[in-house]
Amino acid sequence: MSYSFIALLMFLTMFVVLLSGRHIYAVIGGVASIFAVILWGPGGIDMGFHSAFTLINWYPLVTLPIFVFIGYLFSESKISEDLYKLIHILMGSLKGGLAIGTIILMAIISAINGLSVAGMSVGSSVALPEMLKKKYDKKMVTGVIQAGSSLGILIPPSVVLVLYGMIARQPVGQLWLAGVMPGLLMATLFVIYIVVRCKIQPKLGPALSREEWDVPFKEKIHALRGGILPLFIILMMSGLFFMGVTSLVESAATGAVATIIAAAIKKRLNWKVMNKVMTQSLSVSAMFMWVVMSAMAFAAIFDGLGAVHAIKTLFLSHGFGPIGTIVSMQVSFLLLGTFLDDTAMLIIVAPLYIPLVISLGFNPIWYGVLYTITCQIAYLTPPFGYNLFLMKAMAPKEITIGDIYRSIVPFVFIMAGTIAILILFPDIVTWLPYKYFGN
Amino acid sequence: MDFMIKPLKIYVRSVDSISTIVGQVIKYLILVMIGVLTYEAISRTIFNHPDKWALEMTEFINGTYYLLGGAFVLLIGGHVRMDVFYDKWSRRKKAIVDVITFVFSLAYLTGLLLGGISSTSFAIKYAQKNYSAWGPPIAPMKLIATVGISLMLLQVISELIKDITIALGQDTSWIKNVEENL
Repeated sequence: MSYSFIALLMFLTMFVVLLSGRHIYAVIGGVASIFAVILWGPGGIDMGFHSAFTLINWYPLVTLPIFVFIGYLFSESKISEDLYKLIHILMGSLKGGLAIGTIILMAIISAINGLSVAGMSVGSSVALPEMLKKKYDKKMVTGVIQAGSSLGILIPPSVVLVLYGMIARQPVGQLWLAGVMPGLLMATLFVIYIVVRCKIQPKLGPALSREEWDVPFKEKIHALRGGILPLFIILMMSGLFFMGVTSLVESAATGAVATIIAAAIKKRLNWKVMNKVMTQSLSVSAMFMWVVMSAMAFAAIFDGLGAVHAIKTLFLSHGFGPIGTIVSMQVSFLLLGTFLDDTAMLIIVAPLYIPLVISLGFNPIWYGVLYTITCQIAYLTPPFGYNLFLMKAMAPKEITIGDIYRSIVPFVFIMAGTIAILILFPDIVTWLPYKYFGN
Repeated sequence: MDFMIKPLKIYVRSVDSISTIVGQVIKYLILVMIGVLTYEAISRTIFNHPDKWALEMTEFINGTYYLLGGAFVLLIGGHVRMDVFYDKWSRRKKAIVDVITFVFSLAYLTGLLLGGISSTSFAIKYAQKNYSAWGPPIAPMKLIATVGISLMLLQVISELIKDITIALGQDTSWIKNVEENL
């Protein structure tokens, strides 16, 4: 049996067993263990533990549980409600203003959170009821919240880029900076879309009446305070990091301390909240880490088989150029994303695709951003987008799953458009990290 | 049959409580990690006194956090499944499929455990040190990892017993619903 055939067999076995609903870490790790013993006999047994131990010694991973903690504590602390009030006043006079404001709110939350889940929960608890009350079109509302929350993994800090950095062996600081401009570009494109759409069809996002946003000056000043706490957290976390004061890992800790202080100021720092946040953090972090651990074992076997080389030859020998390969990779990534759980996909695809991209001579920092946006799209595409189900669970009953499916269509096109722009103009990605760190 | 069922129930109850206790303690480690790193950030930037142990210490705390926490997270249903079809099945069908696919959890965790035991005994025998500036002995971390894996294996077996009970259509009232207690 040729090695590329074994690699294919491993991948297929894993895919089929995943459909059974067995825990993802167990499927990936189980398939890896079984194949390791078949391929290398008793010597293959140690491989899983060896991979797991390599993971412990990879320091940027320490940021993962801390960012998860920050995300949950931030949404529990209700800071975003004040922020939304501020946006209300600033944007209320515009057609579609609340929708634009939601995108801005999400971009700010993304600068505090490393995952998209926190953005979703804030969006659906704060922005969603408000927009529905103001007679916004329900498809516009759910589309905006989902698209906006997906910015969480692109704008630093980003847990996805930490995981990418681990697998691609790239510096996380550079990856984070690389995500900034594309993240802002995408947020801008979302805003442009909302403005144009609401201009054509004003009933999708009516402007607020004058008395709702033209509040007395004193109240305006009061509302401005809602922006202070988020700014404080961002400064303590990304601010200190990009100014070169703290290291990557330290910045996660200072961000966490800032979030704890902010929660205390909001009088949300009590035993019940902390207990809930700590349990959620352990649950999500351990889940992530066990999946990553098993994926490392899986990737180690793929490495040993030379699977990446085989796939590269396959693409290139069938007349795909490097760009053609990248495009077809993104397309296959998306197709997988519609069937696979997104966490699993992120981690399964990475060891296969990332070395391929690097061996084709592409900039791994640039691909990191492409990869993240593709993950964002996968989060949103039916039938099995993670955010879609979360949205359904959080939205009021009158919003059907069909509404939610249809609502994300324009935003998915904008995201795919962003990928195309980044392939044509890679400088958008690399400009900031190169300016900051030099070539 | 009954003489067999009773020890199994005791097994499930004890393993579930061990996992819960460990998880309830382990969850505080997130605050310890934040504390150690904040201390290091202040000591390094303000007092210009870097500690070479701080980051590595945090790595080990993080390793302890997710490896020992794994079993508790399994118990409360935190480990992610690909639930495209799984979600639509009845409780019994889920249990039957879980009994069949148990072999994958077993294969992975047994592999990890065997690797862990041989790696830990090697580290103890040769007083292996971590390859870093601080260079602490590596055996304690390997031992913690092996304990975490063992606990995970015990928990997976506990879940298997519950699944078999459900699959056979037996009385399941003795199975505590842990999620409600959180």
